[in-house]
Amino acid sequence: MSPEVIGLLGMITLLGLFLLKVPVSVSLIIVGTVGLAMIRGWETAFVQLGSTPFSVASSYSLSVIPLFILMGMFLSYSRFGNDLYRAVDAWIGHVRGGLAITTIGTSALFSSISGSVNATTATMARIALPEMNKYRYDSTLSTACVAAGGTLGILIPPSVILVLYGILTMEPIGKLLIAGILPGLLQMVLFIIVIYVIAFRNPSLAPVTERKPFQEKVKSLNSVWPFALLFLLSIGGIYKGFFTPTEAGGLGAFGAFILAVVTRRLSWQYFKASLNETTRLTAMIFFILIGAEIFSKFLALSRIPVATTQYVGNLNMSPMVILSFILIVYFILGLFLEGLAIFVLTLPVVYPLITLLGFDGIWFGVVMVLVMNIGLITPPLGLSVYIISGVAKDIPVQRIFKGVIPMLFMMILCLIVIVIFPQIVTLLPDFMQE
Amino acid sequence: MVKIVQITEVFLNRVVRLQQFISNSLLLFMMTIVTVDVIGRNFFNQPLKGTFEMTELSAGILVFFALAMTHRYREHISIDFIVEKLSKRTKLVLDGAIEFVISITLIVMATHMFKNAVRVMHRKMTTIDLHIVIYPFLYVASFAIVIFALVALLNAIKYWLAAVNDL
Repeated sequence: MSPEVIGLLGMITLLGLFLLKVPVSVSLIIVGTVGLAMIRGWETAFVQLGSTPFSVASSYSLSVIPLFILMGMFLSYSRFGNDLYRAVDAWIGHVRGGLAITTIGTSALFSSISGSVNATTATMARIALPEMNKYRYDSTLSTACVAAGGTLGILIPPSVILVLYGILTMEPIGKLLIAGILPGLLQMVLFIIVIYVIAFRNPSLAPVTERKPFQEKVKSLNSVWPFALLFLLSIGGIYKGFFTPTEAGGLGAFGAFILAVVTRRLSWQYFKASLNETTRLTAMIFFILIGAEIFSKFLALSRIPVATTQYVGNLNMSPMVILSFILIVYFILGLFLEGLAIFVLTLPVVYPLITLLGFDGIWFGVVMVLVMNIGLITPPLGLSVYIISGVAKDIPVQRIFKGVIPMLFMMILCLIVIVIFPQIVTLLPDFMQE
Repeated sequence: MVKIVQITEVFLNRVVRLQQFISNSLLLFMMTIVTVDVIGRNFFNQPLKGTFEMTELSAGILVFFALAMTHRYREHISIDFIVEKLSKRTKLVLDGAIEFVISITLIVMATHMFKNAVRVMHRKMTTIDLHIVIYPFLYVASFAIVIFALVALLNAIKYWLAAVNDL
């Protein structure tokens, strides 16, 4: 069998193992090791299996992941999100659809310290849903806002998934993180517009709340500064070139810890929970990366990435057509597979192709995240929707899925805008200091 | 059989909890040394020597020690929308088989990580700044993988016992 055929069979087997519920990490390790053995023999395969795990887990650039997750966990468990919600509500809660818009705004702000969709969605569901319920917001709209807002978590830095993209493609992590800012803001604005239109057309879905006195508005800003400070310290430090992403993560986590302790919001129980959840999430991500490393070595030896790029290069088709095809495939994969699984399964083949076609690697990372976000709120997988359903048990999942349809259109619109105007992604990274 | 499973589970739970505690401590350690290093470098012109390698080694052990607990919480990502459609008993048998495959994979992995540790020990490899010997960390990582494998094996037995009881 030629290496290419072995590579192709490996990819099909990997997909089969995924669908059989074998964990993504273990599937990658099995297929990667057996594939390496078939191409280069068992000795080479076992040497890889013995040496790759620790070298991946002890990679300095990867240690940014637990530190950024920890920063988000400390602030999430310290209930800073509740104050943030009240602050945004004080300023814009009284406009039409105000609480729903507040949910999107708070999600964007919370995303600036949280790098995961799960953390942002779960936190916002706990904070925003009871509040919107109190003011008789329609549950279809309220849950849709939380689901849509949660997806900002992996666009606005720090984004764990963009860090992983950087690790898998060797694109600079600092630039990738900064690249997510403008698309994140654009998506936020589009969500706000669609909510306003929905509320304007059917005011009963989102009753107007009372206007807060000016003093209360000013006072509410007190709760925004920790987020602003930590964001400026960590992401600002990366942008200005003061720190590496890992250093920014360490400082951010330390700052969040000090804030939580000084304000007496972090009980011993929450402290332990923050650490426990961070280490478990880190272990899950790193184990996938270990598998991904072994699998990508196998795929590289199979020459599939080279063969694919050569084949597509000879097609004589417009890069935009090929890109559209790739994005459609990603959209379909996103309906059924976890974002991380899609990354590790496809990036070794797709990334070289994308760069060969002349697209910017950083831009493509953001585009991938946008496409994956669509999968997060679309059935059957729709992870964000199920997180909300776990918090709001009385709201049927179908109703949440129905509610997110307008948000879905906005996400597709955002994706199209970013494909047409890649400068939205590349502008800030281009200004960064090396 | 059930008694043996219960005793093994109690023992494994203790080991896994201890590993999680060490993981948590290492996470705090990483956060602290990175902060001290950045502050020392920027404000006192005195970086913390060896931060880079201490962070690397801590992260390595943190990950391996947290793997078994992550598995106990069923937090390793898997795609279940097809398997969820199967009958309860078929699901139990399949879940047991998956756990068994995981444990075998991990045992093979631990064996070769151990062999790698022996190779590194013979080469007397150390870190650059602090000259910390690396091989003990590799032994510890292989041990953690064995614990992870045992947790998976125990899960497999529990699923199969449940499938038999469901007959």
